[in-house]
Amino acid sequence: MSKKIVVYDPPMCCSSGVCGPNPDKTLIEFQEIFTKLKKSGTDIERYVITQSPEKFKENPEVIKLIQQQQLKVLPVTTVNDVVVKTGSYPTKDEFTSYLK
Amino acid sequence: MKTKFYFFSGKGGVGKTTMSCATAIHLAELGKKTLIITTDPASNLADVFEQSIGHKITPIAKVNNLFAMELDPDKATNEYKEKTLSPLRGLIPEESFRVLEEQLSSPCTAEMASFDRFTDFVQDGNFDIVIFDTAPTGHTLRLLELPVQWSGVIEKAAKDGSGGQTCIGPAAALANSKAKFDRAIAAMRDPAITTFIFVLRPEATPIYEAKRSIGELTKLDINSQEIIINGVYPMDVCDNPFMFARFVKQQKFLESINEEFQVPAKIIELGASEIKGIDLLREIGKELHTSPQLLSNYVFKILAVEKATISNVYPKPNNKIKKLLTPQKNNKRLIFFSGKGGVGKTSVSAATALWIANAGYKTLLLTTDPASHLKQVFNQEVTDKPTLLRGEKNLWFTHIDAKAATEEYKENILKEARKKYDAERIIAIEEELNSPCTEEMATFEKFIQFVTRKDYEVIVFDTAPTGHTLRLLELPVDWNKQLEIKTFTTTGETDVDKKTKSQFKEVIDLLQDPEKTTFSFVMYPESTPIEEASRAMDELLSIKVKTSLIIANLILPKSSVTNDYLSQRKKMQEKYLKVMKNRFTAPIVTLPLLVDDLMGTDKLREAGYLLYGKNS
Repeated sequence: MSKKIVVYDPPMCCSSGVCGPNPDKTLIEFQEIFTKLKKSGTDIERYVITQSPEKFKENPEVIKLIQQQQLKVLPVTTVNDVVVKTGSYPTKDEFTSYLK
Repeated sequence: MKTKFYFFSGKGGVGKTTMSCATAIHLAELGKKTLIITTDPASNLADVFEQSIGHKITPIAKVNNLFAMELDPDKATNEYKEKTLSPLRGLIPEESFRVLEEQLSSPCTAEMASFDRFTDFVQDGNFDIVIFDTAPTGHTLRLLELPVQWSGVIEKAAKDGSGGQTCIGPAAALANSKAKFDRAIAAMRDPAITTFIFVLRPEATPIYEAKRSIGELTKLDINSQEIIINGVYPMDVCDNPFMFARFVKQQKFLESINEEFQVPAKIIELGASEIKGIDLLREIGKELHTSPQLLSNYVFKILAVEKATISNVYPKPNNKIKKLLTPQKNNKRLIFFSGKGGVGKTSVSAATALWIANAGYKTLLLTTDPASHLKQVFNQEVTDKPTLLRGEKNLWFTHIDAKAATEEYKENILKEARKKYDAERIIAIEEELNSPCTEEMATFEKFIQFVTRKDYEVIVFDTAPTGHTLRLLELPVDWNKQLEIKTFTTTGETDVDKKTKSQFKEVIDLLQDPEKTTFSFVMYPESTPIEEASRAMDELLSIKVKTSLIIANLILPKSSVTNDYLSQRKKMQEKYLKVMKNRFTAPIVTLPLLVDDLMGTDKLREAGYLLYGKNS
């Protein structure tokens, strides 16, 4: 069965962080992993809370986490709508394990 | 019937609001349901109609069928925030919700939100006539460039699947907006729907501005254009050498407009009193739209030029004023000139900078106004590197070139990125950097760099028009908040963030210290510039910046008052000078109306003496 991965991003101007006063290394690195996965056909999406709030609303698990731990719980990663990681972006290896 | 749009444009202070209001009143009273909108952050529609208007479509009490709205960027931002975040309201904790709201307060959002409203009006079908009393030129053109830019950004992001992210949100969510932007552009290009009207005065700078704007619009394929030449002297009142010399000058400019512009032009003569009140506006509207005086039919009255000999009296040098213009206690001195467009900010800034340089201080004159005419004033190329003024030892000048600054900013980021990432990633970053927000960021970074420079004793800022300036100054505060949010969320505060934060603090501290910064307003003694400056001063006070100098420009010399018309104008000026003295606590320095435009070092030096006295 194919797996659907969603990454719920914290508030930011744009996904790489280059829009802010100083580009953010973590974000640039994550965007690189993300782009590669997407290009290789993985079912993966990412949503920034200030840009796609309705996507957050659609996932009660994510909303619950924010209710408990505020925004610092973001980014949250889900596989088939089940939360697999919170507080930071998954590494390349973690993504590989999600897809097994 | 389709809605008809009128866009009024032109350098500030040329009478744009007057002409757009006159048009609005005239068309409304012909029975057309008319809406007049200002996008100028320093609008004065409320003063014109003598009622409060604000950020909503408001019926005008004194004119049937007329509605007005002052588009407030802050309010538009709030509406945009509300619209964006509504799915999460009540779902997530209050604390988190507030952080999201703050995050959406970034400078880019303000720009986006204003534009969002602007496009709404372009496709609104509720009015027969919609008139835009637009913001001053540079600002306006940026606004007009936006649809083309955004549209391109969205198209690209959607096509190449690089995550589909743009600065303003995932591409998919923007498909709607793209159609909206495209409709806005199409409407502007259709001469049956849209007319652009340039208001100008027969003077060098406004003519230059209008020429530039007409060129830019033509490039954007917007061709339905008209000109209104405002403030032309009636010949019979120019019965003394001073006024006559000014009259001859105007006639020459009228001739050159007639030769150089391919656009139909109408003439409005200067009246003895200021144009205030609905009745006067109604008359102007009627003249403009039923029996205009056309430039193509105008009989030029060029006569032998008599050289006007005006003996100018310099004021005694004043130590209190000198202290405001020169470095104190080994500090350097920052001087900002602000005020409604067209009041003579660039001329006064240049004259002041030259006066200070001639007093022996190493001085830099910087313009942040995208529509500046510093090049014409100095007759020397202005670049983004400080250049020494020809024939001077102490005066350098430069400008912030938004386009160049953006390129530099992009290149810096890409240079770092190329060391770390593969080509594919670089392309994605490059695309994200193509968003219009980058320009705002890059300009602001340049501004900060100049403010904190240590290699000049005095830096004079010929700033952008009032509202714009205020935003620029409020930005450090905004970005500070942004960085705090970043700390609150996951990524944590990096060393670079800490550095940026301390630099912003330095800028804010500098601007708030009267020993180091002089904030001055240039105005002429009429109600609109006074009201606008007064509002701007209040806004500055709210970020704890005090105004310490006021320049009253275009004061009619006593010796030139030779007839009823002129003495009526003189009386009006005196009345408003008194208002200024009562209203403002800062000292007022005057600059008389001069025969010639302030161009070239000699005339600027003379203007410096007229302002601050002659250094012994």
